Amino acid sequence: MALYTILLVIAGALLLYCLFLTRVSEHALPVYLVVPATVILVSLTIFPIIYLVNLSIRDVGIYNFHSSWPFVGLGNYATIIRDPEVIASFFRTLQFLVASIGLELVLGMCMALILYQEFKGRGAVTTLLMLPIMVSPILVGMMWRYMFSFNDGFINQIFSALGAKKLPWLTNEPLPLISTILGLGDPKWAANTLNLNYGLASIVITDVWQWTPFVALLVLAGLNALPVEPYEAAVVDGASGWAIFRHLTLPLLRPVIMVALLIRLMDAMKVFDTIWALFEGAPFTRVLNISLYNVGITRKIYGQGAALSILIIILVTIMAQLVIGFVERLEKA
Amino acid sequence: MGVAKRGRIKRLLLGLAIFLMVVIWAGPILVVMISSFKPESIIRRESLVLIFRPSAEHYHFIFTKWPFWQFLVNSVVVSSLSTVISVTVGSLAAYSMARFNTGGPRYSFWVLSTRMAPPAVLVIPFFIMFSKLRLVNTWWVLIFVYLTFNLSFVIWTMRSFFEEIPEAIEEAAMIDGCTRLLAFRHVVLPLVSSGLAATMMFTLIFSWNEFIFALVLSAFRKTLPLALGDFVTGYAINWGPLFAAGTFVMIPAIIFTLIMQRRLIRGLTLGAVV
Amino acid sequence: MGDDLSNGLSESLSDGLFVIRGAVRRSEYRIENLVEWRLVKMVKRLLKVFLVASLLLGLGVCGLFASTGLAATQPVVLVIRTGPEADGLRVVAKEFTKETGIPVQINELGRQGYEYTITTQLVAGTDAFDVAFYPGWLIGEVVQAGALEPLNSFIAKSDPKKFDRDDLLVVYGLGDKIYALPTDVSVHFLYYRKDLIPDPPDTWDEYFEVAKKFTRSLNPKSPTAFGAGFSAHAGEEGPKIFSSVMWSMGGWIFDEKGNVGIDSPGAIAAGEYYVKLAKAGVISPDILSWSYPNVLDAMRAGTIAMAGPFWNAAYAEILNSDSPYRNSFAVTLVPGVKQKDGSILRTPFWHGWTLVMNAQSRRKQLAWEFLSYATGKHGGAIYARSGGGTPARRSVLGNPDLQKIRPEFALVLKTLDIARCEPVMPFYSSYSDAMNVAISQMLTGKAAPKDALREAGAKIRELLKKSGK
Repeated sequence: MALYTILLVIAGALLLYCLFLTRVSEHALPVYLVVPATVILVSLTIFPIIYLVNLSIRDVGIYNFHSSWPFVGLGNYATIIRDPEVIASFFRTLQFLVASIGLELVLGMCMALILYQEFKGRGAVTTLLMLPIMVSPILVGMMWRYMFSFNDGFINQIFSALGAKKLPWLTNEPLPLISTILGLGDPKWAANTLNLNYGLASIVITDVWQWTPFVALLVLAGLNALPVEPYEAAVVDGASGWAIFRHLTLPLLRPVIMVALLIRLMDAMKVFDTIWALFEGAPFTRVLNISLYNVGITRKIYGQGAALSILIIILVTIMAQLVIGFVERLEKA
Repeated sequence: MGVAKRGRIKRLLLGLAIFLMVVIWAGPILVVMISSFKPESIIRRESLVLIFRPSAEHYHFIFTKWPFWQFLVNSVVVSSLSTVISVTVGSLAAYSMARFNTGGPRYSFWVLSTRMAPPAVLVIPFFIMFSKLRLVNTWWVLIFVYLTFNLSFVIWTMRSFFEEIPEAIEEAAMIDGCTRLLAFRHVVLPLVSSGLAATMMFTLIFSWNEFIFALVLSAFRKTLPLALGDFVTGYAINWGPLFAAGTFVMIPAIIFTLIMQRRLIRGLTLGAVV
Repeated sequence: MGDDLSNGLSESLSDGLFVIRGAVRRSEYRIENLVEWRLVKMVKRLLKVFLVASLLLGLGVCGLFASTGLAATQPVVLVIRTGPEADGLRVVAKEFTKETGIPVQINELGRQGYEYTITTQLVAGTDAFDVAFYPGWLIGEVVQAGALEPLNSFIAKSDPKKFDRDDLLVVYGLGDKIYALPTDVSVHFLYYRKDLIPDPPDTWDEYFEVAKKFTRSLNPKSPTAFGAGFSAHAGEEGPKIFSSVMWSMGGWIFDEKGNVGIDSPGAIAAGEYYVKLAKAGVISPDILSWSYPNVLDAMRAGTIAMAGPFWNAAYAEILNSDSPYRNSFAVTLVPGVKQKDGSILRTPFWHGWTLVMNAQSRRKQLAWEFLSYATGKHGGAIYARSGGGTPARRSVLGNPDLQKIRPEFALVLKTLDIARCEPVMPFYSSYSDAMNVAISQMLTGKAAPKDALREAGAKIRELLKKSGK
């Protein structure tokens, strides 16, 4: 009956709050208005994080869930950072971030520049391109699992209809050419250790598919807001199209690109659904969030999962700091 | 080479690029929608089948043999109640922050930072806390948990909308004898109502699409995105019904994009940040 | 977080957003009097109606739940994963309701992480179900959380003739407490195309030779693309398939004394055998993403000439499919290793799915009625007739009438005589994960079998040490 008690308490608090809403003095009103939001946010974020810290220094798992949880200090952290799977998933996450965000920024810019041209039906095309953004990520994952499927997948169907070879999407097979181009030697080794395999490529493609339109949307808005005067001056000076883009458009767009980078970085760190739908947690595709799910939910060692959660939170904070510092240095220069 | 010819080539290339973009980005969605009408016998054919007689068997299946309506009700109730709560509570806070700068930049950054952590890190504490409270598998747990990402989103977007309303309008109303709250209700809110509607639709979609919290906290009160996993059975992936149900999961997102396209950026920059 | 961070973020954000917002606002106001504005208004009105309606609906449904909560005949809730087992148990439940008048509600969940979902739910102390379809190999894990109801007292009260414990292949428990009764048993078979392969391979070496013959990259005239196929997907199946091979080569997981054998010479030989198959290309390059459905699809599509070690459940599915090859497949015992005395050591894997009772159930007696009916002789026979399930009762498997409909039952019994199963362990999911990682490393060539299995062995020793204390 905990549910009804909680609901009753919440309803009571709400009633009291509304009762006093009209009676609070003008002076206290601003604080009074942010109280409910603050209470909810504290109970939903600060409290769980404190709880998480507590879990992370204890030995908790399914084996002692209903009894006492012995204190183990930093033992869970030590186990986690020595776990080769977690270390591998950390580097995989970095690779995923760099590859997908890099591609999204470049492709998004191209898309925006094309959409910036005048052509018939531009509105309709823009709308069509924006469709993927809001589609549920789990469905996007399932959709691409079908597209990538080896025998009956849509992409391989097209390939074989065109007479080309089917590609082993969603597998650990090495990507062709890449290791030769980079001079890495054995492609098998590159596929395993450096994740230069179709599996990671499939994840990146899925993410790029969903989020490139979003970057394009941001850049397009930036393009629309560009001042006209410098362009007139440049045209008078006889600058070429590429020079204008390189020396005028790109610097003017920089703040917008930085915002896109920041948003995508924070968002890509959350990735879970699509990879889960594509691989159901296969070891060679685990990023940090999947590893966390594997430790905490699949293997049910809650203490170690909590330690990994804390490490991820610290990582996200550091990344935010770095990006913001970078943005600031650019602004100053 | 004449200027006219070069222009023509340029237009041709542009046309090709646009065509390719549309195929790549709208194609997969179309493939899913079309495949949901493919009869079972050809859906796992190895060769490409483009022309077929459409069949509604998969839709028939999900409506009659699968508790579609139950999942739909769960999804609708959870996302709409979470939206109502976050919009109400969030607007109050946003108004206070926009008008009185309550808490300063530190407070607003804190609100924003609550969205920064990946949801996966909250799964373990939420699971343990809510299972000790016996709240797992209820609508309430999802409604409450979805506030983690909805509330800070509402606060940030609504704050920007409130900031656009000149304070003079409210002051004029207050001189006429209104209290601050009455002015808020009768003057400010109607002015931001389109922004409010947009914000609401965003929070609806965010909750509608959510997966990982539902997976861990509500496996027996499934929302639609979670229920899609039903078709990945131990013996086969039933693409047909999966696509039919998936089409229903997509529909709100697509309608939303069609209506909201001009406002998409604003919502997403504040929404996706962090 | 510091001031500089917040200020920095606000500044950089507002800089970028200023530009964007300016653009957006201009475009918004430009088109405000156009269609979009009207649409927004319409949507606003719709939203209002929608929200009010959903609120009312929510309250209504709450009320409905409250009122049904008071009703007298609540059904026994069974949770099960989608698939033939669910189809079979549904028929059993229907019969049960007809005979006893006790209604049964069946709640189906998808495969993705089914066992982890159920375990998580049991640990969380849910009362959403009374009886669950649960993997026998995870019993040791979930029992620790005190989430399962011991069945001893129910068994003691029931008619021993009717219940007949000896007829059951196995009962699952810890110490002297029984927690689960098997409802479905799975063993490994070797599937082969009888139109192509007149003599199925008896040893793993012969298996490899036959596989080479039917691999198109090695033999351009081969009618099939790959000679063999099995599940190597990191999930439930990967380690189990590997066990079938490993045991026959002399490896083991760990014994009662706690000796870990996962990195013994026999296990390493099995790992090297896997690598040999992969290197020769007789299995599909994406074998690591193959789980049951992929293997089954490959059989139905005629892509592979043999599947094995592979689950007995596929036999009925292949027969009932519309595949052109549905009658081309035959089953036999999995291959093994020739011993010094000339005999062949075959060690097919077997395990059972069970029915367990939720300790939080509020209808335990009714739940027991259903549980014992479904795992009983009568229920088992219905189950065997109605779907692809394989009941865990010797009497049912040996029933000649049933063997007519389910010809593979004889082979199931034959396999069970020599089959082995995994030791009961309280850390199964960690063990399974370690094995999946090792298999993935071996098949991708990331680590040599020796190293990959040594790593897995170290993990298992650690787990044993931990659970021993």
